[in-house]
Amino acid sequence: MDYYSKTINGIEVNYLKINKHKHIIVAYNFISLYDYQTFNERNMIPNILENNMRKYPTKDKFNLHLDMLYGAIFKADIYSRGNLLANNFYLKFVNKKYLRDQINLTKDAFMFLNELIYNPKTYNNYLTQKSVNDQLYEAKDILKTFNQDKPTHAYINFKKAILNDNKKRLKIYPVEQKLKDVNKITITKSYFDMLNNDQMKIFVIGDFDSEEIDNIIKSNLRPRKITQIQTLKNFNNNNNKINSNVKDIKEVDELSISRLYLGYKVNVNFNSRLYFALNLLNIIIGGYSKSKLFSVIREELNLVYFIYSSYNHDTGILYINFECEPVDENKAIDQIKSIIDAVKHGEFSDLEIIRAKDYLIKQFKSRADSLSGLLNLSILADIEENQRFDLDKTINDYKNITKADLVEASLLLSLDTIYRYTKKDDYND
Amino acid sequence: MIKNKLLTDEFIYYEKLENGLEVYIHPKKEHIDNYCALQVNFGGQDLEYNFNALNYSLPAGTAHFLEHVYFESDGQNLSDEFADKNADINAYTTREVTKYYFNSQENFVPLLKRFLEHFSKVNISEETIKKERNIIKKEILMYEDNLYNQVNDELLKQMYLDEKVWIDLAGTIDSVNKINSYVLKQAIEHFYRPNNMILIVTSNYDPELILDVIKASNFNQNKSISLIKPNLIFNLGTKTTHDIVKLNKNQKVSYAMLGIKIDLGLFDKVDESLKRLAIILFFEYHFSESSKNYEILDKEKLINYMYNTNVKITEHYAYFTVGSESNNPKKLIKRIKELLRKLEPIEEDIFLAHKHSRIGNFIGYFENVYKINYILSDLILKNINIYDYLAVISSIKSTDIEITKQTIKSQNILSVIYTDK
Repeated sequence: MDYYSKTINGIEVNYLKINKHKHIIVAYNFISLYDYQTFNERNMIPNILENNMRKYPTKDKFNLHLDMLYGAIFKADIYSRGNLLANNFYLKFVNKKYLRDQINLTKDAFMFLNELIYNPKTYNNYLTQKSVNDQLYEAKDILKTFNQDKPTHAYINFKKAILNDNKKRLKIYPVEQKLKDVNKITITKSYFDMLNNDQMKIFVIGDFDSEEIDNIIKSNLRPRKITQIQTLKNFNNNNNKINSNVKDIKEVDELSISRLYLGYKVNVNFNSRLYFALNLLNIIIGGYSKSKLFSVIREELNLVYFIYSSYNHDTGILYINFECEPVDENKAIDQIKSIIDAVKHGEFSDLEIIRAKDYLIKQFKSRADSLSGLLNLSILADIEENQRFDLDKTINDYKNITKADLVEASLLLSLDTIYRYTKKDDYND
Repeated sequence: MIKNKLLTDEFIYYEKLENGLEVYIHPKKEHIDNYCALQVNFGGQDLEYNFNALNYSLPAGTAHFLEHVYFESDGQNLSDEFADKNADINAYTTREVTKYYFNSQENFVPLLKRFLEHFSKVNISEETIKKERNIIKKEILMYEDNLYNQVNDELLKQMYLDEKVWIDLAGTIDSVNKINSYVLKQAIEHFYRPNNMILIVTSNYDPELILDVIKASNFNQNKSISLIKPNLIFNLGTKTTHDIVKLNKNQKVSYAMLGIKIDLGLFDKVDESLKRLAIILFFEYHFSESSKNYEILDKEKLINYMYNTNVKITEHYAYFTVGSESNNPKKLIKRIKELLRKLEPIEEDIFLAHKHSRIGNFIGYFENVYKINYILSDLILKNINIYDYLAVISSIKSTDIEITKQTIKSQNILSVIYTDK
C-alpha cells in the first residue's frame, strides 16, 4: 500500500493506493471540537443533507441514483472521540475495471458528494423547516425504539447511570433534554460551521488514478482556509470521577431474561502504555471466546449464553454485559468480581497473554485488509492521533505490553455501577 | 479439478470427491485471511426424514443443538485447539443448513487437516450435552422479547400451517429437553455424511495444495453409500384469519408486518437462477428504498427507519414480507394493500438501475474472504449458477419479473400488528 497526502484547495487529501480491491472509497471528513450543546444538530446534519438534495429530492430518487451507479454505497458516520467530533460522508463504488460499461464512476462519486454536502435545498438561507421537522420527528421515534428494544434500553440506562456525573460524555444521539432547543436556526448554524470552520480532510482508498482525482478536486471543490482544529485542545478527556461506593441499580420489567452490566471506571491517557495494556486486558477478561469471563461464566458455570467485556477510552469505562435468569444474577456478579480481583493479583498465565495478543493483532491485520476496515482505521488514527494509521506500529504497541503493565492497568479498574434490567418473576417480587 | 471464472480476475475450482463431498476452492492470493466452511445439509426444518427406506423424526432444534456440541469430542474441545493456533472457529444453523467454519492467518493447512479429521469421527459426551442444553435454553429466552421477532413469527404462523416454516431454529424448552445423545447420534449418522455436505475454501494457498490436503484427510476415507432424503413435505395451507391485531400496553412502539405468499408454480418452466432473480427484483422494484411505494409510505409518515423487507425463496415455498415500526400501523397495512392493488408497470430506467445495483453488489462481495465465502456457499445451496451470475442479471428482462405480479392476490396476503394502542 502506498500512503501519501497533498493539500489541494486548502483540503488535506489522503491517498491510500492499494490495488487488490474491486471498489474505491471517497470519504469527506469534517473535524470540529466536540460540543454537547450542538451534539443533536451535528447528528442530524447527515440525514438532513441526504433527504434534502436539490438534484435527488426524495428518498427513492436518492437511492435510485446510487443504484444506477452500480450500487454505490453512501454512508454518513459521526466519530466522537475525546474533545473532537467528526462528520464523515463516504461513497464506495465499483472500480471501472470491473464494469463492461465504459463508465467512470470516480468523477460521479465526487460530484454526488459535492452535491449532497454543498447544495442542499434552503429557504431564506436556512435549511428547510420540513427537513428539520422530519429530523425532530425521527429523533422522537428513535427514543421510543430505544425503550422498546430491551438490550438497547439496558445499555443506555447503564451508560446514563455510570456517567450521571458527566452527561457530556454520554454521547448517545438523540440527547432528549436538548431536543427542545433544536430548530432550523441552530441546525443551519451547525451546518455552516461544518462547511466553513471545520478542518476538512478527504480520504481516497483503492486502485485509482491520483492525477485524475487531483484534477477533480481542483476543479470542483471550492478553496477553503486551512484550519487546525485537531491541535486546539488536548485530545484526552480522562477526568472520570472515581466513586468509592458501588451503585447497584435495579429496573424490573416484563422480560424474557435479565440483562446486566457491571461498569468499571478507569482513567488513562490515550495512546499511553496503560491505554494499550487496558485494551489487551479487556481481551483477556472478556474480549473473545477464550476470555476468562466466557470460560468461567458460560463454559464452566453455564449461567449465560453470552458474556463479554468492552473497554472504551472515550468514556473511561470498562464494562461487562451478560444476560441470565434472575436467580443466577448474584452468583454471576460474585463470580465476575472474583475474576477481576484475581486479575488484579496477576492471576493470569503467559499463555493467556500470548493468546490475547495474537487475537488482537489478527483482528487489526484483518481489518486493515478490507477497504472499509482500512478507511475506518485511517480515520480513527487521524482523529485520535492526528497521524496516519500504521499497522506495524500498532502491532508493536501491543507486542510490547508486559504482564506487569497488565496488572498495573487492572489496578486502575474501579467498580462503579451494577445495573440490572431484571425479569419480573418470583425471585424478584 | 474444474476451473471456472467468477469475475475478470476471480476463479473457483470444483471437484466432487469419491465419497460424494463437493469441494469448492476459491483462491484469494493477495488477502491475509484464509477461510474454510463446511456446510451440512441439515437445518432447523429437518424434523422428519426418510433414510434407507425408514421414516424418522427429530425434536425441534436438533440441528442447532448438534451445532453447539459438535466441536467437543472425547473430552477435547476443537475451539481450544484452534485458539492455541490463533484461529477462530465457529458455527451457525439456518432453516436449511448447519455451517461450521474457521479462519486463520497462519497455520491454515494443518488447521484444515485437523478440521477435517474432526469431522471424520466425533464422540460427544453426556456431560457436554447437559451443559449445552442449559446454555441453549438461555439462548431461546434471549430472543423472546424482541418485537420484530415476535411479529415476524406470528405472521409466518398465520401464513403457513406447517411448523417447519416458522419454528424457532433452537427449538422450544420442551423439545430441547427431549434431545439426548441417542437423538444426536442418529442425526450425525444420517446427515453428517460427505455426500450431504459441501466444503468451500477461500484462501491464499494454491488450489491444488488445498485439494491434496482434503483428499489425504481421514474425512475422505468416509465412504457414503446411502443418500439421505429429508421428508420435506410442507403443509402450505394458511390460517383462516388473514389480519391479526394484538394489543400490548407494555409496548413502547407499534410494529406492523404484511406478508405475501408467492406461488412458485408460476415459475415451473423458468431456470432456478432466473426465477430467484425475477422474484427478488420484482419486490425490490416495488418495495425497496429506491421504490416509489417506499417514498409514498415515508412521505405519509407511516413508516420509519425500522422499515424492513425480506424475500425468502426455498425449493418448496416462497414469501415476501414488508414491515415497519409505525405510529399508525392499521393505516400502514391498509395503505400497503392499496399499493399492491395498483402496482405500476415496470419502468425500464428504474429496472436498469436495480440491475446495476445487483451487479455492483456482487462485485463488492469479493472484497473480503469472509463475505465471498458466505455468499458463494449461499448461492450454491440455492442451486444458483455462480459462474454465470452476472450474465443472468444482465440478461433478465422486465417481462421476466412481471410474472411475480400474478401472485398478488388477496388470499395470499396476510398481516400482523402488535400495537400499544
